[in-house]
Amino acid sequence: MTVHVCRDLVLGNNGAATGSYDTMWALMVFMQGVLGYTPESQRGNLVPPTNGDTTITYFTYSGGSTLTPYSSSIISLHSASCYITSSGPHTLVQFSTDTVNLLSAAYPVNWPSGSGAWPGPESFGSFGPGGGDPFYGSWIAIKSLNNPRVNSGIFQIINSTLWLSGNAVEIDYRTTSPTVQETTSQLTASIWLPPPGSDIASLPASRGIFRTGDWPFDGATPAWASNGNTGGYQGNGNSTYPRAVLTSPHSTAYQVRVAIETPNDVGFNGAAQALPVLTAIPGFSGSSGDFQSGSYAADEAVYHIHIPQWINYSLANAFGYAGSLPALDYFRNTNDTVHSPIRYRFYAWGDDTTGTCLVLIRNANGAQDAYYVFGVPEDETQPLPPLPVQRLFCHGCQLAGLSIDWIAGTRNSDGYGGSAYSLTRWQGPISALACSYVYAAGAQSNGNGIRFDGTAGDTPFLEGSELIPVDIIAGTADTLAQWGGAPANLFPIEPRRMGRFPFARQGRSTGMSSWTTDSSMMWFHASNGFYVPWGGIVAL
Amino acid sequence: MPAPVLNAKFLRSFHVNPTPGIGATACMGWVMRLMFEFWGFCVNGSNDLVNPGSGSMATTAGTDFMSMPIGWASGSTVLLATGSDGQTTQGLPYFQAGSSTPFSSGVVGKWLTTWQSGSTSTDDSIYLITSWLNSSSIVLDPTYGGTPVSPIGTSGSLPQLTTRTNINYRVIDYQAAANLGYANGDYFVMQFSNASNVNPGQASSQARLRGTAGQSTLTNFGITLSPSGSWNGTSFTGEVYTEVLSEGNIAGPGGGGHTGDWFFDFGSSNGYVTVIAGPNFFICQIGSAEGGFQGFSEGGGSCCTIEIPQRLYPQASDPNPICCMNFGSTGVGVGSQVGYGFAHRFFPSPYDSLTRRWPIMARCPTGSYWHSTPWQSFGIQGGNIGRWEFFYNQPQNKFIAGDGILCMATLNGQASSAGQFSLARARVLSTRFTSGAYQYYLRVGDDHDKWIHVGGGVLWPWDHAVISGRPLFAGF
Repeated sequence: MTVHVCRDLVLGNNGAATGSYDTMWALMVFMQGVLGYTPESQRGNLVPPTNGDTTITYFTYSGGSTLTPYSSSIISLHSASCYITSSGPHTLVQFSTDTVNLLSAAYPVNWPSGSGAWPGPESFGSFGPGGGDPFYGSWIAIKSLNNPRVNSGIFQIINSTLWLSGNAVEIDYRTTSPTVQETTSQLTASIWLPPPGSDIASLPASRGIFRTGDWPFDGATPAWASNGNTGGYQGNGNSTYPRAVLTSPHSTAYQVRVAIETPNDVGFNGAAQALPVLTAIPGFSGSSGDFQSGSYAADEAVYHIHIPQWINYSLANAFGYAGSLPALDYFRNTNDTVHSPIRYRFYAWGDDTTGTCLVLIRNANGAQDAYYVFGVPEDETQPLPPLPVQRLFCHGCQLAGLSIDWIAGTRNSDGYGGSAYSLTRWQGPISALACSYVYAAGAQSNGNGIRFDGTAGDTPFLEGSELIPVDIIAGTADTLAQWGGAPANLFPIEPRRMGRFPFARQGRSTGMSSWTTDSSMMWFHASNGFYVPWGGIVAL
Repeated sequence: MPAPVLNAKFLRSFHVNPTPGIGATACMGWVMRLMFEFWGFCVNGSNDLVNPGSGSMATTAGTDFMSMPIGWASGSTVLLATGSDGQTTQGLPYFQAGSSTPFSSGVVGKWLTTWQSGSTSTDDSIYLITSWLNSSSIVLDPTYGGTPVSPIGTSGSLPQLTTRTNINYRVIDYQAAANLGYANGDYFVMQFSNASNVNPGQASSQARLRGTAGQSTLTNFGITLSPSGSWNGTSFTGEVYTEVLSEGNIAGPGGGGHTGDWFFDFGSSNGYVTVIAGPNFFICQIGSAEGGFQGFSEGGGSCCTIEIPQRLYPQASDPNPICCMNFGSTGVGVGSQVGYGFAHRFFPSPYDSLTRRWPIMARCPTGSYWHSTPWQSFGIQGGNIGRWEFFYNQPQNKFIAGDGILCMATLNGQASSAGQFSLARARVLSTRFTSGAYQYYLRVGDDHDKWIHVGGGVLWPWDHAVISGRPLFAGF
């Protein structure tokens, strides 16, 4: 097990990130490029890239507008290909020349002297942009086994012109701390287009990576169509909402369906909401971008924990299931109708053995920060349940404006919840919650928890800030909606500890400002006592 | 780190007959004598038939672990007979001396202590002698100790004696011990010589149990903890921790309640004493189901727990954890205020030499911080206590209950503990928590992990035994 951390990736450089879609793009890059997920299928419009390797083509220039490819090389998702080096304040990804020759890519054979490098962001005659940055503006996903909390993750390439002779590109290392160099053992790298809202320039098509349209990040409801099945889940089948099924590196090869959910499927109080959200929900036997629908039949064997898709409900006739989709990216106002494109930051933690992944997002004001986690828990309760699907869970935010917090709730109150799978195989998905220690006393609100205690500080027993684990517990909530008129007892009650909440730990909030590391610099305090592993580098 | 097996033994609802009319001070003497006997012999007994098992008391020489009336421990009017040739047969109530003739007809109504050195059998207990057959044979009431033999798996049954030989035994007259002349402050000092089995490297921590003046000479009860086990024969040395006197209410400051005495001098009733103990924990509960004659309060049971909790910090930071709680005539439940009721322990700190009230936190089965917690009245959103199976997983046939960890934070009624903050110092092993809305005596668990709901959401170790004819946890 190696925990990789994606530090502080900025989405929406031009202030136009769209929340769910940009995060979907970043998440899929992290899952594939760092954790080793492989694409199974995709469907809908504007699906983020699921291609594997990046082909670099080398050209011969024959005058005029004629460029003829004469060879190519591949930056593989799965093969070590680069080093992390530095030059002064610049952090560089230096490629092995066996993998790519940037100088040759920038200067085609017979390229006229004095014409500058090609391609790149600047125009050169009929060839469009030029300037010698074949990767300019792209993302590079790096998997480092030696420094997975520092050098793994997604980085934006910000310059290669200056470093062509060294066969290197400069990345946004997102810290003022010194580069943690890795020059003896190669890291695995892959090149990805950034999402539209995070693009820093229009990009040439010569890399073999294509974007097919633009996300409507202007505040309008996406012009995509639901599947028209008014009696059931709207986001599958012929729906044009983007989704992809990826296969995890876990020994069970469970899948994760990463999807933009339609507004009709994440509504509240019987009405659709204006904007879609992102989900990443594990299961098995997904294909064509979807899982199957289940049924409460004893011989049923539809194994996934996407509640609306399994039950195949429609909010129009079963709105009590509102809240059954733990989601990310409610970048909206509380009236569910207004969306303002913004700039925000993306963080991810992932295990390249289990595929388990935790994502945090935050923006400038912190009001809409959220987390999402899926996969298998750590320290799973033994013996393991009989079916692999019964080891899977997802957990996320069901409500806007929560901030990141150890708080369980329903769609209309508090808001963090999730799903797992019943031990009765035909029963389908059930609830899954983050289960932490609370005072064994009468009514205690979240704000009265020990995380916010006025005397909280370093403990004399450790001479440091103390963290304790949180569990994932399945089957203790019978509804994730709970509002006036909503039916109760939707999910069976069958409590069991699944295991430990991945990566994050519970600690004190008092005395620890948000979004900074503890004194050991090994843990990062998001907010409200929610701590995640860090790599000793502060990037704020 | 898995929790050590508790290896609990039980004295189940020991009946103190009201006929003698001994008064509240003698009641304290009676109960302390039971504590002494059960801890020193049933739990920790060696093959010494007169003195408590080696290491069970904090002795440096002789009987300097106690200050009690002469003859209290083994005087001829209290200790009536001993032997090591006891025999019992599965399912039968007879106790047979194999080769000796220790029993006279006068032992009827007295109590037989049985144990084998190093045994984990719940047959090691204290039994009412109901009949005399001959000088080698008597009849016991097996339900005071015994081992439940279930006809349906682990669901429990009336306890029975099992087949054993070479059983050590003592016949004790507790009324004689109770009627001795006590002085304010009489005590004995118990020792946890197996503490290192819970926490590697831990010293043999000690606890002084003392009767103190309340409404009468010896009606209150005090516990003084010694983490390092420093008893020198007359006092603890090098550490001075405040004595934990019995509390009078579980609600916390402003909660009202009794004075905190374990006993009162009024009323008239039968009293009942239950002791649950293993090598690293000790629980004693007393109460009455009626009025309060011999001092056993009808208004609420009294109880104490002392235990070696599981250390969560490095050994060097917290070498010798030991904690306790102590209630007089209050009943059972967790408090409405943090750190009160049965959801706390008094816990000496190595960093400021104070015995503070440490709240217990438990894992919330409905997640993290719903608007209220289920431990007291279960008013959470989303959960529904009306659905009986809430804590029960039918496919697994398992019941879940929250373990407890001791933390240190701001508490109403306790001086600020700035600089002493602790998120999770130790795990309590002898108590778990469930919804207070469940009925009393709910028995759950299997194998070595069995519990009984004593009320208010509090679970104590149990073995699924059913008691008939005597109120269990009277006063709760």
